[in-house]
Amino acid sequence: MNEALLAFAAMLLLAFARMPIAFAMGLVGFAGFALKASAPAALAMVGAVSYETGLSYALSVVPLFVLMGNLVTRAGLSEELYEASHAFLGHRKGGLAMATIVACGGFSAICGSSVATAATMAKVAVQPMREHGYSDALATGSVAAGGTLGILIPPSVVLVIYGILTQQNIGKLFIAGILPGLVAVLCYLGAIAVTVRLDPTAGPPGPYVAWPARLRALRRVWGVLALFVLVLGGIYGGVFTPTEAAAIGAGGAFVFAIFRRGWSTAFLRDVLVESAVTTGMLFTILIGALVFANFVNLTTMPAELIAFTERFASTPMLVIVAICAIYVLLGCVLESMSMILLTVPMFYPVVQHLGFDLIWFGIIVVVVTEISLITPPVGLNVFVLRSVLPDIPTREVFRGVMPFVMSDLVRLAILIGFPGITLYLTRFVA
Amino acid sequence: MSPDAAEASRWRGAERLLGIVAALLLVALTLLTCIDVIGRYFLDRPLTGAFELTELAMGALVFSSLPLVSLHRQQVTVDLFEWLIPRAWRRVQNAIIDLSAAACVGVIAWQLWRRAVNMAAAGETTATLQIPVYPLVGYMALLAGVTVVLMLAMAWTDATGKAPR
Repeated sequence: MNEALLAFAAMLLLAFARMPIAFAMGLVGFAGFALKASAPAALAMVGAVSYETGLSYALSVVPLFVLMGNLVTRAGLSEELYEASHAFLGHRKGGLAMATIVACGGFSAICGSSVATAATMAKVAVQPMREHGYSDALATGSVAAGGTLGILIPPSVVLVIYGILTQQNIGKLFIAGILPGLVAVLCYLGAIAVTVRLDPTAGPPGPYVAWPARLRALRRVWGVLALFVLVLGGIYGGVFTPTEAAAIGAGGAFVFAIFRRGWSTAFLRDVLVESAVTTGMLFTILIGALVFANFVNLTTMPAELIAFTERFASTPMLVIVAICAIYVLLGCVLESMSMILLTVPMFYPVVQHLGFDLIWFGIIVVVVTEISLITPPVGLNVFVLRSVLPDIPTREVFRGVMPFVMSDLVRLAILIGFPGITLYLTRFVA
Repeated sequence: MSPDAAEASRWRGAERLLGIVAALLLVALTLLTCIDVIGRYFLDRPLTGAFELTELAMGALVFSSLPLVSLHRQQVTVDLFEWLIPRAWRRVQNAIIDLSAAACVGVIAWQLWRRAVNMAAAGETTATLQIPVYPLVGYMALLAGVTVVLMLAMAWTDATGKAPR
């Protein structure tokens, strides 16, 4: 146990000294493995991990969903989504912020990344809110929080990685994310309602939009809907495996982007290279984390963790709450993907041993990761907003996300208390 | 053209080429599965060996993008405690980080190369299409090697304080 904890400390130290997390994990994992087993064994392990991770069929979902997300992001679908939800909700108190949340939810249904969702919606939604006299805190807070929906509402790159780490059905994980995603949207809308009740000047109502105009706006989001139904419906009905759905989704997004923007070689090359670079970045972290996990598995830590939690067998919820607390704390210093790759291999045997459903646990992990995306000091989405809107101070954004962090905690409690919300739809997956 | 500018444009040409290779691999990856699915459902004829072709394309894609990740400095880092480190150390710190990263990727390149040599000797091929695997693994090792060279060059520019590209 001590060796593993020592390795964790060393890894964090290197990461805090600004060594890329992937290499910090890989270096410490390699050194630990070499000490525990032997140097030749450690070298062979690194070779095997790199080869198997690189040539993994299951992981081909990752670049495909990244590509699909990038294509729809750049095709400018976000504007239509925002206009449609604006038409329906804009006249309410705080309605523009509510419209932002709903548009983020819609965008998340075709994009698997929280950062991309926040960055895209920031460009579309913040300006109208500022023009209508919304406070900067509410305007930016709703985008940062709404952006976190990207990894919960399927498709989700984080859920893919979780599914591969825990050998769970990725299709089921995606379907499990749908209802909690809706709960999340409702909780965020509640947070906005409370915020504008406490401070009505933060979000004044906009003009009312008549029904014919609303329906016109709604008709224009058919592209998003079509892609979502194609990908998720295909998985739900058992027509496609997740990999096939991802490829069809990416292909569909391709057609859509060309249809929307016309053929532009420069545009397509940009999007493709951007997606390839993101893929390379994710796989570097993946290889580093797997090398680290292989070392941890050599130590006594996994067995001792299970033995330790055995004592709480009569109150297993306590273990879940403790794990959530660890995630919130780790989320303050670590980037979300590295956090999941580091911790899930250790926690999931414990959770499984205590008799919990691993699909449900995956959704819980994603929800706590969402919280980590908007909490100080490193809330990634907050920094995304700062880079898109440099004139708004970071402190203001953090102030704005606070009501949403509260509503996230409420949502976490709901999902832990009622596992049925997460698991209900998965029963019907073909 | 000054020698520096000539060197810079050579780098940019290499970056462009790698980008195009990665982009084409991503397109191939998408098309492979799309053709397989369409073939299976509409023409009753799935693409033979789509599974292993996807695996091969993945390996090539991941390692083709590796040099680009370093070039764009896209590795995920924690910038939280940067202020703790004195400014004067920054150059040395950056150079050490680049060197350790180069060592990590260097080990990967070396091990993949060994694997490629063994595979060539054993005549290992894919199950369905009987494609020899060693050229791909060799390519992966080569691209990892390119990344190492790139990281060493970046360590050099960091240490000597020349503006990073």
